[in-house]
Amino acid sequence: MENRVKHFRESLGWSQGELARRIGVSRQTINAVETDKYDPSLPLALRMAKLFAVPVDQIFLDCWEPEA
Amino acid sequence: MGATWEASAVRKFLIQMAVGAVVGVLSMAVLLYLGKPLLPLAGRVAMLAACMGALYVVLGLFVGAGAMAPGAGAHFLNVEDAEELREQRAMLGYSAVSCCLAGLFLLILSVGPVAARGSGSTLLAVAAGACLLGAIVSGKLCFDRCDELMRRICAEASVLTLNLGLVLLSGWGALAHLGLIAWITPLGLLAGVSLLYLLASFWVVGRRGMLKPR
Repeated sequence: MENRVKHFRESLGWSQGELARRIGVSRQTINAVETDKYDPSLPLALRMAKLFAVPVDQIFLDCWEPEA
Repeated sequence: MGATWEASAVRKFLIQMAVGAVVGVLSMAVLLYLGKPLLPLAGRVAMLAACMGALYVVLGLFVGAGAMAPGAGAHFLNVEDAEELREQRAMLGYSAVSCCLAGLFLLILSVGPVAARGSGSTLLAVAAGACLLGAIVSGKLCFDRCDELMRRICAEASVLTLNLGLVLLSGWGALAHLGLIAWITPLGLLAGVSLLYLLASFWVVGRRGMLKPR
């Protein structure tokens, strides 16, 4: 799943380590999320949304649409 | 910037490969030298188990050395910098201990009975049991310190090991039942499971692109 974690992180001027520290994961996890190698759990996505002060669907982009 | 990073990553990758090759060759030479009188007597399966055990011990020592000396560890472990190793020191430390104890468990079982020449099997059982218990406890302590990505990787590697094991053992069992091949020995089973878990872990980590030099 595509995401804009790097965009929001950099807009706050944070390093990967800083974001990792704030949400309680390793730098490796932030790196894996930003490079689309790992989709985070719902709690982690919600923590990111709180930190960036934006809704989750602005961070994680899903092109799925329900059938009409 | 990109070219500089690429050159640095390639240099680091080459250092990691060189260190891995030298340590691998040296540890196998030590194992073969020390086990020379024992391994031929123990048989091929025991030799395979001893090699697997030595591999686990070497991997554990590598990770442990990197966690204890992050400055040097950043050169031979696949991390961004020494700080990343400091941040994960506790988790990596327990992982290293668990890996070493699992390797010792295999080594004791593979060459122990021949070394003891049939006597002291109770002592061997106690030593092997202590290593296994220690590996499980330190593995649990390591797991408790993992974040969600590492837990996911552990879970995926375990599931892959189980599935591969089921397929291989089912096929082997069917052929052995038909009398086409011999059934696997208990030590062969232990060595095989250890090998499968190692391969599964590398597969899971590699599939996520985490073996790429950082």
